[in-house]
Amino acid sequence: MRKRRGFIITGSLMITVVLSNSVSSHVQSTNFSTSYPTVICPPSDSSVTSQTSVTSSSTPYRKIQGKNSAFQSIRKLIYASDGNAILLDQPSVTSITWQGVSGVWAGATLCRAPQSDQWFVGGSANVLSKGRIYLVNSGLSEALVDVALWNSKGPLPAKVFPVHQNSTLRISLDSIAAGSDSLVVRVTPRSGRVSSYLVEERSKGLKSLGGDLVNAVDSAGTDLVISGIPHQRTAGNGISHVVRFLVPGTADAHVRVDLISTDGVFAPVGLDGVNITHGVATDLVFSPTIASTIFSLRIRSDQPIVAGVLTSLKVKDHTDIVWNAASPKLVPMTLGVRGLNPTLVFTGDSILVAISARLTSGKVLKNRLKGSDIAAWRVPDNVSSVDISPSGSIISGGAIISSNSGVATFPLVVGSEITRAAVPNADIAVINR
Amino acid sequence: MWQSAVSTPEIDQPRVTAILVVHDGATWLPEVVASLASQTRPIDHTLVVDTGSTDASSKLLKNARLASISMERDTGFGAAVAKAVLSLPESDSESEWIWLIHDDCAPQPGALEALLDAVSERPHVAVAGPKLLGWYDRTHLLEMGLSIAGNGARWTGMEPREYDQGQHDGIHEVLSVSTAGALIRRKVFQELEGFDSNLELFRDDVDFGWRAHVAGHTVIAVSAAVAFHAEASATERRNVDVKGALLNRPLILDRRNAAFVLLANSSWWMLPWLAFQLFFGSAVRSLGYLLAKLPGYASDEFLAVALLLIRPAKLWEARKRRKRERLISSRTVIRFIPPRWSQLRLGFARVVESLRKTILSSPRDSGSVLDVPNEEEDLLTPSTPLRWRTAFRRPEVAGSAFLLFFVSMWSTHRYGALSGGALEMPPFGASDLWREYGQSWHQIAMGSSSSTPPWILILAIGSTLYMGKAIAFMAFFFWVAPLLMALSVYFLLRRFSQNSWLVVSASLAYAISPVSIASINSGRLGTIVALIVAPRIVSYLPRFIQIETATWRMIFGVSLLISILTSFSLLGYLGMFAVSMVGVARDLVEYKRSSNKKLFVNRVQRRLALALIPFLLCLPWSFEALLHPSRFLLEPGLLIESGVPNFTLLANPGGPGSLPWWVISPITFILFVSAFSTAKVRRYSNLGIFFILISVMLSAFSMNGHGSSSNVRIWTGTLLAFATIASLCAGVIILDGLRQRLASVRFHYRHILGGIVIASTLLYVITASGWAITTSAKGPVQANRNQVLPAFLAVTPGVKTLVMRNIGDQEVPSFFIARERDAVLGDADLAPKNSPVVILAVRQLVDGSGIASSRILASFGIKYLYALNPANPQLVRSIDGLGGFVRMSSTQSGIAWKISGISDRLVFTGAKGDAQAMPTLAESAQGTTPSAGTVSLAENFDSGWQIIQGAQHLVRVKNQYGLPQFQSTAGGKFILIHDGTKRRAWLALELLVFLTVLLMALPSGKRKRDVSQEEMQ
Repeated sequence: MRKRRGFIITGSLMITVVLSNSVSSHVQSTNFSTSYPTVICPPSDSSVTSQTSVTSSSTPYRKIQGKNSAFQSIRKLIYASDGNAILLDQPSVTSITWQGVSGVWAGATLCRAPQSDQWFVGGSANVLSKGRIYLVNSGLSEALVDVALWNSKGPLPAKVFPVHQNSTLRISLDSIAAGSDSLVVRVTPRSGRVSSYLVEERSKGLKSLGGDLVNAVDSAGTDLVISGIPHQRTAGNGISHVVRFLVPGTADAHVRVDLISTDGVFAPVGLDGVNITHGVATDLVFSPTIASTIFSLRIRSDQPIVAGVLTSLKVKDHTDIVWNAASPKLVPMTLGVRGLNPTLVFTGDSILVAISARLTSGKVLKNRLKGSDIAAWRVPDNVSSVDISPSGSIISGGAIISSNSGVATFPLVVGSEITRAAVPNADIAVINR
Repeated sequence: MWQSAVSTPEIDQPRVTAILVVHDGATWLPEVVASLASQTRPIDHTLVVDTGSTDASSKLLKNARLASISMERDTGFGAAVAKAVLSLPESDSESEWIWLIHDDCAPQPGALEALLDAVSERPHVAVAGPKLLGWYDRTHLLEMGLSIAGNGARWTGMEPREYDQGQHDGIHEVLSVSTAGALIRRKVFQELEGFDSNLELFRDDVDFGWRAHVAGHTVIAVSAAVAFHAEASATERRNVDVKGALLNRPLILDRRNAAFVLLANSSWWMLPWLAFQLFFGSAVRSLGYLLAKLPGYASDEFLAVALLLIRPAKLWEARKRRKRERLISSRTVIRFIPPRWSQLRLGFARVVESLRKTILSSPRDSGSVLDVPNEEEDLLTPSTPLRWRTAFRRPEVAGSAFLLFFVSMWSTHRYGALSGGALEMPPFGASDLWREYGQSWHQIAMGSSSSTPPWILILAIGSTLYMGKAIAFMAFFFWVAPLLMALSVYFLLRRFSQNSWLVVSASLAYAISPVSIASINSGRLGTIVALIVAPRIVSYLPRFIQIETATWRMIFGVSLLISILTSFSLLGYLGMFAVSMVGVARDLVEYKRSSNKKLFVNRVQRRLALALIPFLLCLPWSFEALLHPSRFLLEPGLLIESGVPNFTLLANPGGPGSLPWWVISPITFILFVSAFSTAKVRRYSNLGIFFILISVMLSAFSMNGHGSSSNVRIWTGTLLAFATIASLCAGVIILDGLRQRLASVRFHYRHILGGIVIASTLLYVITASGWAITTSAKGPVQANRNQVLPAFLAVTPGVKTLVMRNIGDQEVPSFFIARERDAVLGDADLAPKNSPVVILAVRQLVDGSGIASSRILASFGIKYLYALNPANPQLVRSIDGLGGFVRMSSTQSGIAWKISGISDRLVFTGAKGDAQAMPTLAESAQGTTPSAGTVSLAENFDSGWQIIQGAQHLVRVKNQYGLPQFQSTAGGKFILIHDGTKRRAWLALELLVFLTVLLMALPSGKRKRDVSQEEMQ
């Protein structure tokens, strides 16, 4: 009897323990939500034409202007800006804003979600240049923005700018870095939902030397790739390019630059192992002799650096300047290209990129780009969007758009990255002492 | 033998005529007659008035050859005496006395002589009365003069069952004396026209004394004169048949006459106050009688007042007559009216005496002070000086001292306003708890109309008794809880063993059991109460088997106990309900076997009462739990983490503040070992193992609720409390006498098991108490924590603030809508679920996509956003960046933003879309709409919300966010209310059920006629 009782009790205990441990629910107190933050497309001066490509005419947008906070449908596939920055709620598609003065210069950048840190390697504030920064506050409360600058002599005193809610602040580079030939600008919002843009226009007397939107990079790094630098050969002479460095840290950097083109990979003369002084915007000129019209640079450094390449080109009967910024690692993205035929340039040791172009007719063109070091593909006409899906090793991408007004480049960066945020739980314990 | 009526007294010698009024007094009459005959100072003349006796009184009187006058049966005492006096020869002598004798009053032989001696030296005395002692207990001092209290109570100034040891002896001037044995100067009697004919019986003595005083005479009580009085009419030993006695109920007559005496004799300007006192006194006494289940007496109280009120003319006439007789102010008697504090003191003494008898009755108390001490024995007993240290040899004293020391050390961080863990901050005063219980709408988060849990009511009562200080009460409760637990289980375990050391040790182990430590450290109110109440309930469990033997009073009493448990823990109720249902099933099986329907019905009625009464007492909260069954698994307070199943297997509920894994209690081990013991022990071990297994299974699941959307493991503390009790019961039964049993047998496994049980228990007590005093003192529940919400966010009443904070070590901030203050007791239980719209807005706030978050939050009436430090910098940047949130402050405590736009509780929107905020009070509001439009209320939608404008209820609809919106068709004044009629109706029903159950659970009072004369006196 006792044995039986013991068996029953022990059995019950064991069964309960096993059952409870097996059904014991894992207490998941954290849930995550994913979303695409809205993106901001840059403002422009009144003399500048600005257009943004979107993939749907029902895309919600609002102008960043005064008290306007209501979204409405954009109603067009190519939105011509009236000078105000716009806020686009276009999840998963990265739009391109094309700016320029007809027959004078052209520039392009991507509409991106506000970043917490932006580096602009480019621009100057000398007598030849009319550089300006736009600080766009798309939030509904006042923002405070730190603007730090470096020129060829070293860092300049940092400035703090308040930006009213839902407005744009235009700052002329002359006013904050007068006389500086070479500038690197860092914009860090202290509070607020702030996006920033830098435009440089150069002229000599009444003659325009071109202009461009300087694309921003998010952070300094030790291994940078500047992808899709246009190269133009005139009769017998290669055009010079300027690579600008800044080492924001406290130690000088040793830098090695490789030029990657269909002609091969080599270190341009003068860039093969150079020391860059920290805290100083350093310009180095190089004139590669290559047959390719597009190349990329790979910059390795023992210290975190930021870098950009300035190229001066002849377009029709005028010159234009192009600022290339470093490209981060390419991730799958969809680029809205309606009305534009950019040439996509991919750089990497082993390139394998699947491209899917959606035509305005609804058809889909699929292509598979394969190669090593550098590969390019020009988007055909009548394409509304391009899906880019890299695979394999690390690939960087850039794009070049040519027009009668000038040439523009931009790195291939996702405008609005899907955000995964932990969902807060409602819990009265937060107000318990 | 008898002095003849024709005998002539000497001149100037007092002449005394004894008037004996007889009314069914055969029981006492022989002794009364004998006592009159044996007076040392012979009575000059004796006259008997028989008011229609139907017993043997007439025969007895005839046999005694006493002259008697017969009167109608409904003749009052005053009329009988008046008739007797009228029959006497005319006399105007000052030395002519009448001596009033009741048929249940026997004077001692020297009574008359003593009375005459006293009055002979005091010519101003008109009335003299003897010291009245009890008829059956002749040491019981009944009266030594009497008076009347302001509320009409008969006042003798005696303590209950006061023993006569001569403490009141002497001759005292008094307001009046009882008519039993009263010696009255005949001339004065006639001048005052005898007793008032309105007072047929009762209080005629007080009235006469009062009138004698204001007529310039004196009334004295003479202790040398002693009479024994049976108080037959007052104690309902005989029927009261007088004309004025409605329904023959003496209490009506007594109360009516008391009021009459006061109102007829007092100064006119005292009348309103006296009327109030009389009415209030009647109400209180009625309530008391109702509680004592004596509804007849309760109705008598009110009928008495009503009787007086319906005949004001009689009172008017009486006052006019007294005005005529009055020579001095009626205020002259004020010195005889007992002050209120005397009445209170006496009332308090009666209550204390009653409690003492109930609680502290023991065989040792049965000795009487009358017992004659054996002086020789005293001398022979060597006297030992009592040293205080010797008290600690008593296990109860030593155990209490240890527990007091332990609790004092353990509670070092809990002296003050407690909060933390599952416990919310108590409100400042008891009134806040009462208000919370009565409210139909609770301003918590977006508002809730949920029923307040009854444990709030219990805390409100406790706080009220604790001088209205809820904070102090809670601190005291947490301090005293281990002591109460030990005491409660002590009374249970004492049934199993006479070994005090064993019982006290087990009680201490219970007070520091894993579930006790965890629940106190983490502020689990429900489990703490369960730990206190459960042993009392368990002590009744054996009676549940043959429940038909339990009295209904016991059933209702246990139901009240279960109701207290239910109020704090529906899980506990579920357990008790299951026990009842198992009982019903057993009864059904037995009924089918025996076909004893009466027994079956008896049992089922009682079991159903036990199962349903607690549910009814907790209405409507318990009913809501039926609609939301998950509440059965939730206990009061915040939802915090509990232990994993394997932890629960060791009877440790786990969670913050619980014992660490290395402090292992022997509870499960004892239950396991005792499962192989005797049948009596197995009864408890089976129960304990059952509770352990259920707890293990439940703790495998998680749930949310009580203001939290996070899933946490189910807390099984209440079930483990029952398992702990079962283990202790089994352990005590096993260990009781184990030493003797083991000593008588050879060494075998029982020796080892016994050793392991004792050693593991000792080890547990040492490690657990050490851990509790050191580490757990820094547990979740702490005193005087800083306020969460900064003061500047609580300026406007009811203002809503969205608070975000990382709780514990969580990386993700949690949020809640605060209303002007931090969470207080009950808020978690009442907290509503958040609207999905708000949750989405907050989610988008965090992930940075909430462009519209500020607008949505403002629509919900949320004015501020507050992120407590350490706030996630990314979150802060996101909020700063989204817009609509304007920074107000950034301090060490946190960052506050003001939400842009109209974020008021009540907003009027005109036809053109122009919105304007309207001021509101905490709940209701008054205002004016300028034109037709909509009035939006930022509270959760509820049918109780109403806006009345121009005597019409505005149409109530849900707006786009699901909040109430009212359509105003024209401008004008309006009033916003939350209709609490339903809540008030529930409360009334709950009160009714509670009073009924309480009435049934209280001991019944006895009618006077049901009390034996010996007990009465």
